[in-house]
Amino acid sequence: MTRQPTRSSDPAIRAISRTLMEAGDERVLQIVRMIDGMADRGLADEMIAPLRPRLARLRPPRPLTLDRLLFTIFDPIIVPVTRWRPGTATLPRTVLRSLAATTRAGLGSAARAIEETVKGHTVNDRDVALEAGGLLWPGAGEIIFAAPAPLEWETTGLNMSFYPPLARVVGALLTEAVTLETMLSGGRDPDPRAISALLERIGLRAPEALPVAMVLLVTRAPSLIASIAQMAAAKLVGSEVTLRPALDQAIETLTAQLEQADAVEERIHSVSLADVGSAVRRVSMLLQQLGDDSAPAPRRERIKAIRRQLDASCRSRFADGLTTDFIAPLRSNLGVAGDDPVERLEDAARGLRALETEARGVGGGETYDKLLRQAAEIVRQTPGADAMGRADKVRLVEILVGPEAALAMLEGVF
Amino acid sequence: MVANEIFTQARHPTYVADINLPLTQSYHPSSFVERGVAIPVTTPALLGARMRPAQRTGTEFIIPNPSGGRGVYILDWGGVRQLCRPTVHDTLLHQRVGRLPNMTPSGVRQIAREIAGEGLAGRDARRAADAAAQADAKRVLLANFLLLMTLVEQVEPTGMVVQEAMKRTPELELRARQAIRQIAPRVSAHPTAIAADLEVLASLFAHGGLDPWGQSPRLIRLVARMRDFRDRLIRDAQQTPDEARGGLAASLVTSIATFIRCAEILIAKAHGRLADVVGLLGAWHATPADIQTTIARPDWLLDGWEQICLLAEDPASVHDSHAVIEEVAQLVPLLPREAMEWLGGGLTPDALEPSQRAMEQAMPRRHGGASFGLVARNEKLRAMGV
Repeated sequence: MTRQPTRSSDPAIRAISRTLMEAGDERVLQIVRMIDGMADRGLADEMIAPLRPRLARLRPPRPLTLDRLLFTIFDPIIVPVTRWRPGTATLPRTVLRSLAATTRAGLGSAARAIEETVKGHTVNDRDVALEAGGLLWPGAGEIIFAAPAPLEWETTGLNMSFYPPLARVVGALLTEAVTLETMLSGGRDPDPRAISALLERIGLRAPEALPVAMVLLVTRAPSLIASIAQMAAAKLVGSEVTLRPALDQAIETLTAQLEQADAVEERIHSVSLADVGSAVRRVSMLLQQLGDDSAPAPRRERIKAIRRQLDASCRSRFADGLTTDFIAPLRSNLGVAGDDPVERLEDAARGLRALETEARGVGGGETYDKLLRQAAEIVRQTPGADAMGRADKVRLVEILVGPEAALAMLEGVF
Repeated sequence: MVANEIFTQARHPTYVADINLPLTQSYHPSSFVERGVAIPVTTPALLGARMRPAQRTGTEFIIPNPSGGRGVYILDWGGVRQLCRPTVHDTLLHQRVGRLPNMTPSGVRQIAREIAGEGLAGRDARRAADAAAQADAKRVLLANFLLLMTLVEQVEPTGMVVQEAMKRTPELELRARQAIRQIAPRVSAHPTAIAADLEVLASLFAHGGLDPWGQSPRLIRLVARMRDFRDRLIRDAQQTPDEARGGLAASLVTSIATFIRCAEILIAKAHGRLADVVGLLGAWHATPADIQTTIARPDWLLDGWEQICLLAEDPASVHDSHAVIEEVAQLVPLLPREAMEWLGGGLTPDALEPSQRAMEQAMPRRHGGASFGLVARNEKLRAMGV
C-alpha cells in the first residue's frame, strides 16, 4: 500500500515523515513512545500522521490521556481536514485539539481528577476507559454543546461558521457516549428498542448529529442499518423530524468513506492478523447492508466496485500475513526466546484462517486453498526439533488445512 | 418450581437450515448413564456434548440443539461429522473413550488428560496435564496415608487429628501395621490384602475428587465454584438488571442451587463411609461395586458443571455475565429420574421438571472466521480444567 508521507507544506516535516515511513516497526514504535511523552506534541502529530494505519496494526500501548479519551468514540469518523467536507458525517482531525482545550477550561479541577483516573493506563485498558469516560463524556458534551467558538479555532484551518454545527454534533454525541459505548461493547448487536430510544434523544436535541450517530453505530455493528431503516419512517416524539434523511446521509457517508482511495485497503491492512477476520466480516456485512436489494441501482454498482476492492485487499493481506507472520517465523524464529514461538505460529495460522473464511464470502477461495496447502506442506517438511514437536506440527496443519489432513499426518500417512 | 433444564429459542434458522439430521424434541434421561458423560471437547459446535454407550454403534453423542432451540441431537460419529468438523483432539477423544470398558466421568477425564498431555489441545494444556498428573499422583499417595491414619485412630483412639499436614513417622507406621493386623480377622482378609484395599479405596476417593482430608478436593472445590457463580449471577442481576436474560439467570441460579443441594447429600453419604473404615473394608470385600458406586455418585451428579464453571471463570468473559449466561444455558445438565433414587427424600419430583427457555444470541460466534478463535478459547479452558 502506498501513501504520501504527509501533506504538510513544511519541507523539513515532509523529509522526517518520509524517513519515518521507511523505518522498521521497532523504530516507529520507539518514536511514537517518544512523541507520546512530549508535553507539547506540536508538529510531531503531523509527522506521524501518515503512520496511522501502521500504528493501528502495530497497536502500540499508547497512553490514555484526557484528550484521547474524549474523542475515542469518534475514531471511525475522524478524517484529515483535507478530506473533510461540510455536511458529511465526519469530523476533521484539526478540531480535536481546540475542542479538547474548551473542555479542559470548562471542566476546571474535574479534569485533573479524570487525568488521575487514566494516569498510567493505555488506550487498550477498556475498563478504565469506560469508567473514566463515564466521568468525562457527559460533562464534556454539555460544555462543548454550549460553548462559544474558541479563540484558537483558526488553528483548525476551518472557517468560523463551521464551529456551531460541529460543536453541537460533538456535544450531543458525547452526552450520549456512555450509552453508545456500553451498547456497542457487549460483543453483540444492541437491542433495537435501545437504539431507537438513543436516536430519539439525539434527534430531539441536535438533529444534525443523527447521521454521525448512525455512522458510529453502523461502523461497529453493520447489521444495525436494517434496524434503523425499519424505524426510519416514524416521526420523533413531538416533532416532524424522521430518521430517513439522516439515514440517507449516513449511508452516503459510509459509502463515500469506503470509496476513498485506499480506504478499504487501509481497513484490512491496518489491523493485526488476529483481528483482520473480524474486520473483513464487518466491512463485508456493511457492504451487504448498503447494497441490498432495496438500494438504488447506482449505489448497488458503487458497492460492487467496493467489494472488488475488498476482495483484492483480502488477497494481498492474506499473502502478506502468510509470508510475514507465518512462513518467515517458521523458517527462522523457532529458537527465539520470549513468547512461545509455536503459540505465535498457531495464532498467526488462526488469523489467516479467520481472514480466509470471511474473505471467501467476498471472492473465490481457490487462491487461499492453494496457499494454505503450500503452508501446510512447509510445516510438514520442517525438521522436528525441541522447539517444535510432532504434535505441534499436527496442530499447525490442522489449523491451516483442517483436521482430516492433520489426522492423516498423525497416523503417518504423510 | 425447581429448574432442571434450560431451553433456548431458535434465533438463527439460517445456520440450522442445512443440518439434515433428526432432532429429539423431548429428551429426559432416566439414568445417569443414559444422560451420558460430559466430553471436554474443543470443537465449538460440540460444546456441551455428552457421550454414552450405544448397542448398535458402540457410542453415541448427545448434542444440544446448535440452533439454540429445544431438544438435542443424538448422533453416532458419522452424524457428528455431518454436523461439524471435529478437531483432531475430539476425534481421538471419541476413539479412546469409545474403547473404555465402562464409560464414566473419571475415565473420560483421564483420557482427556492423556490427550492434552500429548499436546493435541495446545502447549498450555499439555503443561497443565503434566502438572495435574503429578499432583494427582501425590494426592493419591497422601490420601492412602491419611486413610490409613484414619483407620489407626478409629481402631486405637489417641485424639490424633488426621490432616493433610501430618508427617510420616516410624511410630505412626508401627501403629498402622498393628492396626491392620488387629482388624484382619474382622474383615476376613490378610494384612497385605487390607493394605492393598486401602490403597484402592484411597485412590477411589482421591480420583473421585472426594478425599476429605485435603484442603480442596476437586468436587468440593467444584461445589464452591458453582456457589461463586450462583452468587455472581445474583449480584449481577441486582446491579444490572437485564429484562431479556433475567428469567434465564434466575433459572440458572435455581439449577445451580438444586445441584449443590444434591451434591452435598451425595458427598456426605460418600464421606460417611469413612466414619467406619473397618466397616468400609468389610463392605469392600463383600460388594466392591456398591462402594465404588457410592464414591462415584457425586462425580456423576456434577458431571458437566466443570465446563460451565470454566466458561464462567474464563477471564475473557468474566466481565460479561450476560454473554456467559447465554453460552452456558445450553450446557446445564439434566437431572435424571435416577437421582430421586440416589437421593432418597433429598429431592422432590419437581426438581426434575424442565424450566423456562431463553434466547441465545451467542450462536453465530461458533461459525465463520470466529470459530478458529473459539477453538483456541476451548483449548485454554482445557488447560484450566485438565
